[in-house]
Amino acid sequence: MAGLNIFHYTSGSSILHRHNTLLFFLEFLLLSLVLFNTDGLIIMLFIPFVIFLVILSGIDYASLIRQLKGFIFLGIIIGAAGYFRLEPASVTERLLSGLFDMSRYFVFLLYSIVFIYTRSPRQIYIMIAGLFRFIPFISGRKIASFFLIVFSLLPVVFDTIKDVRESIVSRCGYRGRRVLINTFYTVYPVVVTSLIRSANFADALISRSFTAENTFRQYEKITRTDVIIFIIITMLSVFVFFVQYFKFFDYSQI
Amino acid sequence: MNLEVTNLCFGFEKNNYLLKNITFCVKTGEFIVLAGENGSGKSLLMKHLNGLHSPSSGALLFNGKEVSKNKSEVRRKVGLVFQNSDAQFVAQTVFDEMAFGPENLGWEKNEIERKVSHYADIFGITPYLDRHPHFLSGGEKKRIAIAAVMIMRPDLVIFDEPFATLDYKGVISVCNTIIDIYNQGCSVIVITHDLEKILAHATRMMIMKSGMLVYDGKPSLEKKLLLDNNIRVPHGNRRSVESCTWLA
Repeated sequence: MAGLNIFHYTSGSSILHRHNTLLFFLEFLLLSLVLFNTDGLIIMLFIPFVIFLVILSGIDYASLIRQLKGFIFLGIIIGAAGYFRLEPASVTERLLSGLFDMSRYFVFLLYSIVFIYTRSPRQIYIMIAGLFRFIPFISGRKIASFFLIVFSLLPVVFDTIKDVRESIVSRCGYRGRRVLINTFYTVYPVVVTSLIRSANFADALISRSFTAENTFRQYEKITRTDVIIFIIITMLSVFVFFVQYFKFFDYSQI
Repeated sequence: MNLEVTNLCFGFEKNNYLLKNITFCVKTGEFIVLAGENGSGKSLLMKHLNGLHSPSSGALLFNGKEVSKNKSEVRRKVGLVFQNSDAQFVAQTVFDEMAFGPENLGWEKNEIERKVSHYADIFGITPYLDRHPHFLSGGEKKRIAIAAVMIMRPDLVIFDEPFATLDYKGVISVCNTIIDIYNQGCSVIVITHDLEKILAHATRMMIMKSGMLVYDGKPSLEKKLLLDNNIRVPHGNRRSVESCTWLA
């Protein structure tokens, strides 16, 4: 059995798996809006929140940490960029600036992972088709079909990268510091293989009567739990805006 | 069910046909084994039968209607099980994979759940319904791919190299599944090089070479016919058509 991939949808019965996709998506937008429009210590408030979400979603922590190595490295670079961005300023201010940038990045990353991990491409399809069903002259299903294919192909691309890497490493590849050549050796087969698999994927979809005009009839229902989660997240966002507006935490005084 | 192929030619480029003047007919209750060397056009021909490709010239009729003008019905009635099961999977769980076809056909949710549960029982994949299909064994993947097609209740099921990459247990399981499907009244076309695994159950054999149908008749192990078309002659005590099966 292949190892768990955090960028795959994984079926489960957690409260987040059962959460309505449309509300989840709106919460995602709302939190992103708040996250990228706030600064200072308030960002740190989101960290326990997303950790709580990761726990709720039932993601395997060991797999999460193992597969986030590259993203952690990117986070450190973002933090370093934040440190050098704020000039002229004291070292403390620059350190905090880097820390906040890094925290914002990790909060967004973890929230995205939780979203992808708990949403199947089918749910995304139903959500988009549902969103557009009241809008005349726009085929929501065509737009949703596009997203279904893109979203379904994401794991395929990740798998292909893994296969290509293993194929190269098994033949003593990646030796030396030939960054450009090594990148080419990885990217080229990934692109070609992904295109071939895309063609197969399209055949598989069409052979079983999938067309943009066909319907998924059952739209997701909104339950009381969904509404409660939505209210909690909306309140959290409003609170964050409120705190930011009145500047309760003026970290420049530190 | 009546599928008629008349003088079918197909090519991606003009005047460079990969399928040339193919004529045959498939009727209800037929079990066809289609053999031929790699690149002879077997899989390409089968994709025509499901409406994935349209012929460059010639006629392709399903129940008397042109396939290219009646694709949605043809895709429901002609099931295609791909050679590589991984390439066939479009969903992230076995349940969603099986529900995919019926959802496209607009079935009601309760009906879909009932049918998925029913077919999962038949194919012995109930324990995997919540699992990711890519992470199962080769035999299990193949059974899921077949179940995902069978749930649409096709009249004709095409298996593209169903035994490729399977171990002994997997081959036996898939063989049994194919024969069960045939016994339920479906017509079956099996594309394979491994005649010794399934030929005994076939009612008809077809051989393709270089895009042409070179043999269409009763199952045969005639050495010259097989060798001329680069098909392996079954070894050992499998000298007769009746002995060409892996089932006891």
